Amino acid sequence: MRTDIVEAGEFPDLAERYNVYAVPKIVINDTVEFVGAQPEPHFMRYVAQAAGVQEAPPTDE
Amino acid sequence: MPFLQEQDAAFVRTRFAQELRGDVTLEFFAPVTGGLALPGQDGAIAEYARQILAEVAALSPKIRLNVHSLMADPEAAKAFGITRTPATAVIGAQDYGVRFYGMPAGYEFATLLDLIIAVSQGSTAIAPHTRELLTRLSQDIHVQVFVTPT
Repeated sequence: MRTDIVEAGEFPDLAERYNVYAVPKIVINDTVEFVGAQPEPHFMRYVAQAAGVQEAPPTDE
Repeated sequence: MPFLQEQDAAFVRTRFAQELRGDVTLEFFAPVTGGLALPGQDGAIAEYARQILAEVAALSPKIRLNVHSLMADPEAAKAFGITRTPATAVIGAQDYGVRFYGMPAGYEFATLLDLIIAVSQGSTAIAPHTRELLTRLSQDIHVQVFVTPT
């Protein structure tokens, strides 16, 4: 897994390509995207979706 | 003029002293280095980003800053997967794959500090469920987080 933190204003071509109108905007594998900080289980659901992995329901820790 | 006020520098120095464990290297890539600056805004931003990182690195003996030029050192850029500048690879005992593109100012300065500390500690407080899901991933995951300093 690799993660790029991108200052949207300094890379307008990327901001345009990924339609960044609000931040934080998260794009995973160019296919799954969402806006705003998400709780960890929600974030991981997006990761699973991007990876095509069947996601087990979150368990209470 | 320094980026950090003395009061802020003291705060960061204390936080680093308390929270850093292993050494961290900031691999910074600018369009050019060696006192030459690209004309225009891009060169100015890269130089400002380098200054911020230099001030941060000076606040702990555990942090080292390596400055590269994307043009002059394409091999290093390739090794860290850097194709754009300014870019910073934050490397600890291993490369956790996190890159910071742009100037780590404003709110993103706090992001940089958290990132340095996380990489230094080599561990995060992720949930067991997250850890389990990550082990089941068979393909590479590329996360891009778009931010602004305000």
